Amino acid sequence: MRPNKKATVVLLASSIAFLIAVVIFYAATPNMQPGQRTKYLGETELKVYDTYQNGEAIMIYIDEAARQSARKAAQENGTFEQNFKKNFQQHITQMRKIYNVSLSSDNYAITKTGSEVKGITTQKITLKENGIEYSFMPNFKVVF
Amino acid sequence: MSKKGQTEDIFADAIPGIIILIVTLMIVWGMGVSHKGQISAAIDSSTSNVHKLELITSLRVPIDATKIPEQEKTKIWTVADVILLADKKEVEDFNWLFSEKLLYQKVEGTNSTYECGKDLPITLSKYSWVLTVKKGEREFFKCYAREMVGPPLKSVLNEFALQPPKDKIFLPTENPEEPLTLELRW
Repeated sequence: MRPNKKATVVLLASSIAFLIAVVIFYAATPNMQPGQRTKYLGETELKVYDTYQNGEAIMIYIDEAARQSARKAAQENGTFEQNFKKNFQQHITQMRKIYNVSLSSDNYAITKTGSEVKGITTQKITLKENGIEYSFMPNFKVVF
Repeated sequence: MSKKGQTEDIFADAIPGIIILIVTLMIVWGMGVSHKGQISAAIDSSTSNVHKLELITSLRVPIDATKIPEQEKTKIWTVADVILLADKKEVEDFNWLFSEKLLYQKVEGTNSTYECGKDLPITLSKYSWVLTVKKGEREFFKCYAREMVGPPLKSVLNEFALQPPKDKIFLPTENPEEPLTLELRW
């Protein structure tokens, strides 16, 4: 049986209203959630990983700087520790320009055993990025 | 009204509803696709850094001492050392560096491009990457690996050559003011 004209208009209006409701629901629902923007599963964990690898990039610089400082210090006159700290300071001053982290060789306790050098510092590096704060002690143990 | 006429009327009345239904489904599907795109972008930008970490780790990978000539054993321990050595001495002078047994292999017909990957961890050869070493603006060393199953090496390199580096790692040299820049493309 054919519906009358009034019924067709009501049906059409209802259908259009339903369509609009669906669009609004999909478009606005994410913004209606309380708190910060909803993150995808694993997104924060990957950002933690990003921050960690930036720390690793700094650590490889420190390790290599320590190794080269030790090699140079062993060839110079004077005490090894003083020579090492002087050379190491030059490297970490350059590192500050690259990675924007501030360290001082004066805060390192240097121990040399044969061709192995250990550096223990009291000064930690803190990286703040992606809403994540990651701190680590830039200690090193290298063979030169 | 004939039976045939009634059927035609029912279809005629259903047309607006069908159109609305199709449009709704298209909109919902389109929104779903754009949602998936956002997930992909968020995850892709982060997973690319996972590759960087593997490359940083690879710089610390010790080189098998049996592959290093006696006269160099006291100087070389890791992949990073090989790169630093290539900076300190002219790469071309290090023929042993490019022997079959070693990590870096000279590519025939070039003086500045080297293939590495033979002794790198297997995970690194799961995808293609290029590591370019620069001192200032001067590019003096390059090593790369490509996927075991993938496009020919030449096309991989051409593709990488057009891309900006995805990330950079720095290594200090004997001169503290001249660190090496390791540009990573993958």
